[in-house]
Amino acid sequence: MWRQFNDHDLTTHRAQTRTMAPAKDPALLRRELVGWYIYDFANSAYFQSAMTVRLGTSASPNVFSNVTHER
Amino acid sequence: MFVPLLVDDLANEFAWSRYGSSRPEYCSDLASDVQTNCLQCVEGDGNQLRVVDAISGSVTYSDLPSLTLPGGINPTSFIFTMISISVLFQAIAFITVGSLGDYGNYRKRGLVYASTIGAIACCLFILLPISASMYWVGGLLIMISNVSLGVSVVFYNSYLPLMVEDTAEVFAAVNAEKQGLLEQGAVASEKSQESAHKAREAANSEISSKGMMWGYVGGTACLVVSVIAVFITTAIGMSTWWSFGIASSISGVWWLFFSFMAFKRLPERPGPGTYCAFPKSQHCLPIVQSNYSDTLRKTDTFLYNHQTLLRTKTCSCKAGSGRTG
Repeated sequence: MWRQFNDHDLTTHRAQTRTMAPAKDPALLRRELVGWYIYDFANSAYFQSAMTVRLGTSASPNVFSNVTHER
Repeated sequence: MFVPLLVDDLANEFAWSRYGSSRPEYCSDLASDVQTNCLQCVEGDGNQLRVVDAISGSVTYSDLPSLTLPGGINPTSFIFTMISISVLFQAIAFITVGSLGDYGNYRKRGLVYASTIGAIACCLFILLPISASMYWVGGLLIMISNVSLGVSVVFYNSYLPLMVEDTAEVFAAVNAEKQGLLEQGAVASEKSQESAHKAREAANSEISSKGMMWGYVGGTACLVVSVIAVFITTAIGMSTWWSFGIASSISGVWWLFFSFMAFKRLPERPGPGTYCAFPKSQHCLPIVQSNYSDTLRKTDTFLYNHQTLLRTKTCSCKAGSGRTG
């Protein structure tokens, strides 16, 4: 019932787009690239805030200042 | 790093309250003459309860009670458990929606939805300091934001090959490749194929590197803003929990604000399957089904090959047994 898409469809689509369309306007490509870079700029904030788990849980000031060798 | 610190602290506080007492303070937070009944990290033993005898002045250390959260989870491993579960969900989500970035009109839509959900979940970290019993909400938000971030990166990365193809260098190299094939035949086109491949590699590396550079700049800038916020909120007398809650949600606001600036610039970029005659509500179903079954089939083949290889190696070690894999 459903048509299955595969890698061949994708390659064909890209090839068709390539042969039909002229070179992309450099200004449009630049705008797209800037948008792409901005997204990396945006989501990296989460990486440093939430994904730095090992550093985060071990860098508690108490851990460093509270270690003793005595027993 | 503020989110793990906050959720870890909330979980520990809640576990102590379940035990029936309040969490003792760290000895380093107390004045030197009152450092008794406080937590001290002893090398080789971890955190211990330090008690100073009032009469003799002798110091003894005792083990802390075994603290657990509902479900038997150790409070110190709560955050790692939540992250592990989110990685499992990420694996399912990646296999399910991974190919949607290349088909239909899902590239930008997927990026916008996944990113917005993740950023909003990150902003909600500001609610956690209300009570220690909110630690489980923290775990849930970590799972939602982690999975959303992963899915958004899948859609985000699906833009890369298209942008690479549109760079002037790759466009020229691909056209030269086509011309070579038409005019000089297959042998001559091998060189132009190679130059097109090299142009793609170079453009890919350049764009990826610049993206990573801006990622590091963004992460560092947001960290600086968050640390300043922690200093200011602490200076005006806010508790550590609220300081960390605000710092955590700053990264959510940052993600939300700058991602909307990115969405303004990123185009739709539809792939094949946009105008197919599927019922509207079930556009993505065949792609998801196909992708899921393909991935599982490939995994099955990989595991079969791996097992066969292992069996062959094992049997080759027993050369005298007369059995082969």
